[in-house]
Amino acid sequence: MIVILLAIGIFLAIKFFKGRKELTEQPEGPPSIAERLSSKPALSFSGEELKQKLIKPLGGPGLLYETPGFQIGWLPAPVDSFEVMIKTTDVISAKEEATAWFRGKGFAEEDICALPVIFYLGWEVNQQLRDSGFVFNSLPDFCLY
Amino acid sequence: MVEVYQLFFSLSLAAEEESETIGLGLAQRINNFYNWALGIGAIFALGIIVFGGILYITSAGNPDRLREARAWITAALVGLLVLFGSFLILKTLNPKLTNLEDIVLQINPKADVPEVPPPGARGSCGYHSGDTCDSYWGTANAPRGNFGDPTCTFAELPELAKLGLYAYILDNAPNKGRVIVNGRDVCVDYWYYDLIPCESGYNPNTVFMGSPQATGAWGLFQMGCGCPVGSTDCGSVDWGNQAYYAFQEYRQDGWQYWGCARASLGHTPPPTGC
Repeated sequence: MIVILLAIGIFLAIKFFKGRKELTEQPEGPPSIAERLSSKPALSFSGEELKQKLIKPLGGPGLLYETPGFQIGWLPAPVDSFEVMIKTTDVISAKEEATAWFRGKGFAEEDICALPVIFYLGWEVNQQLRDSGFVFNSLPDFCLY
Repeated sequence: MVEVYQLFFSLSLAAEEESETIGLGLAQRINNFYNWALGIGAIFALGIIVFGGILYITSAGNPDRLREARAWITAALVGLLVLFGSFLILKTLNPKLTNLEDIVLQINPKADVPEVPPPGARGSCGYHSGDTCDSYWGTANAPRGNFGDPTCTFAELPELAKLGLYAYILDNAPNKGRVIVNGRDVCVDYWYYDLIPCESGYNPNTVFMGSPQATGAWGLFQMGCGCPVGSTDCGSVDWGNQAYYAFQEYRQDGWQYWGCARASLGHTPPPTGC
């Protein structure tokens, strides 16, 4: 009797834990920017100072810097981000140049990741790369979150 | 320009004032507690079986202690059976009984009508030609035209318009407030930071003439053309209404409508809970 009960218990336990695995399984695919934003680290004191210095002249949302390959805009709260639109299919170079611009303004890598700086592809580039299999990272490549 | 700025600024402020912080779902917390309680109960029962076993081994033939050991083991096994048996019975009867879900209030669509009606007539996929701010939509002037940007807010003031777009999503997204983490509305951020840039690169004038829709994929959310009566698949309108129809479409079909929300196509799926 005890053996039978034990066998039933083991069977049910296996079934239960198998079910639990299915319940906690996450959908495949890279994490969203939305999820990464919610876990981003805080901007350092010096980073915050640099940010304020950069956006103060704008007095609101606006364009900060533009080259043929990208443009950097600022959007205040609730968005609160620097948004970099890539305008060339040479995405890697454009991202590096844009990141170098932030470095040139005095931002450390940790602060560039904490701003946040979000990259996105302009429509024409988006179209051109649509079927190329190119995987676009919306964050600076060295950001860990 | 000042008026437009004030409009978006007030939109943004209103969105900030009205945004409500809702904690992570109570139902999910109860589910988690239930699952862990089952696991802990099982471990506890196994501990009692071990205890009963030790009692049995050390009874040295004492009938009272043997009886006591058997009682401990039997009680633990019965407890284990009841514990998992109830779970199995509930799951067999109706899986939802073991998976509590949050109650989500559906917003009355009639109360969500945009202030400005969609430009142009429904039921047609026609266009006004020209590349001016008076033009509305059309394959002739897209993607350089302004079918989705008749007031040129995106063309001339993209950063300002994007702020207005975020404020609109924050105010009207059907899944707003479902997942708040560190003060950020994750579902609102998914619309703005993941879905829209993937679908259109924040360009309300985009038209993609290819599969799966013969009449093209239009606007910020790459939706249908012509706005047939009764359909929410409508992207050939100004950008504010593109967002309005995207939310209607989400209410009807969920995220599966958008290729950019499908992990199977290599894109980022919506965060859990959105």
